[in-house]
Amino acid sequence: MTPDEFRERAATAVEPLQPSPASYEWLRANVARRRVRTRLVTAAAAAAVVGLAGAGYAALPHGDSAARPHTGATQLMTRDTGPTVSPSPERTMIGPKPYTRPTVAMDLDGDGKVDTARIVEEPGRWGVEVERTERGKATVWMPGLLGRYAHAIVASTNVDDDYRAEVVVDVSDDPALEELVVLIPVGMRDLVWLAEADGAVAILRQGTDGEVRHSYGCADERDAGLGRVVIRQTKHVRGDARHVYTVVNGRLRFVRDVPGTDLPLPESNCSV
Amino acid sequence: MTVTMAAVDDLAALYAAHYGSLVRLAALLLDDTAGCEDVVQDAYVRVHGRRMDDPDKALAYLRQTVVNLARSTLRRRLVARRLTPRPERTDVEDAAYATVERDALVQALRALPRREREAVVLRHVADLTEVQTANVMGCSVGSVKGYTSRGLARLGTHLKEQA
Repeated sequence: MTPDEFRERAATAVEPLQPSPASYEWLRANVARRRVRTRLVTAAAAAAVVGLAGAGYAALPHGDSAARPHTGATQLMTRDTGPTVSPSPERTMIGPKPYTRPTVAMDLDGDGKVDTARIVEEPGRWGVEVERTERGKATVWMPGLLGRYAHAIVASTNVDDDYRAEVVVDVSDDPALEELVVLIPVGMRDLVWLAEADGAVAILRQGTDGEVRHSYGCADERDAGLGRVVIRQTKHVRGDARHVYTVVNGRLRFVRDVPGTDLPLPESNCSV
Repeated sequence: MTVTMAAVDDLAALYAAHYGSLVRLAALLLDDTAGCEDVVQDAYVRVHGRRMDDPDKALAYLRQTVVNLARSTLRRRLVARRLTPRPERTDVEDAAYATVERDALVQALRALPRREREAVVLRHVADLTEVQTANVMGCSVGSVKGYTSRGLARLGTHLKEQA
């Protein structure tokens, strides 16, 4: 059997195993349980140390015979907090691109009920406020995208053909260019962005930027095992196509284009 | 990319990036798929308390823990006892596990000696290099090469026999 043959058959064999939102809730419960256990162990150890110290002190001879010399030196224990970091200033220049902040309806947790999402802002940051039918509101802040203005949720659809909708946000100022960040629902309450292998946010570009036309697509369907997908971003400069390949974490499969734009379909209208 | 990472929620990000793939990896390493999620849950619980600047280190640690836990049935039982009760599986999830159990390749993998199975899966499913596989398995690169080629040959034979 060749390695490629094995790889392909193994990927197909375990393909049906997809984590459910309950898996994430279970994980949170397990992490919380571990935290409580760690605290209990620490508290017990601290109590034991205090007890031993108390017993040792009681056993010491007390009175004038144990006068101790004073060294005269006092060591101040200070904590160097380093330079103060001030938050990035709020972005004031929105650019020529119109922006909209409607509340968008979607089914984020796949329970068949309508949830909503909208972009919210505070000085120096933006986030997505998600309201789930039976679970109330939660805001997921996007601190890594400071300096990028969230123009709109351009899609609230199931991009990757699982049972939940993804939130796709345009973070470009340029009217002719879309720079899309895909936020993937995790469990019942969190969103995480589609990330490159090193954790950086993956930004998908489509549209034109001067003379350059951008598009993105799927370069490699081989996402077996550790579930990494390769996205191909293409720059078309005067007829020449230059490809940049980006490995992203997760199993996001673009089964359809990101709707809500008048731009031509991206090349991602394929099975990865 | 010009934007740098600041994790929204480390646990959520780690979960989204690797959980599914590690469950699938565990399913190929274990003798039964039923325990694969327990193993991955425990690996996540262990890695969560650690500070790691390099995301790849977290993945390497998770993978190593999954392999270690997959090795011992006794250890897996202890893991299951440490975890909170598992949420009930839906019919769809039950069906998915049953499908994986019935797969001819999965059955052929289970017939392999443990180290051959690990080597083949780590090299060709987890896409580790020979050096990385040797580190995870705690053996030499030469051994990894031997286990992998023997494992693949044996798998081919098993599958032909099954057919």
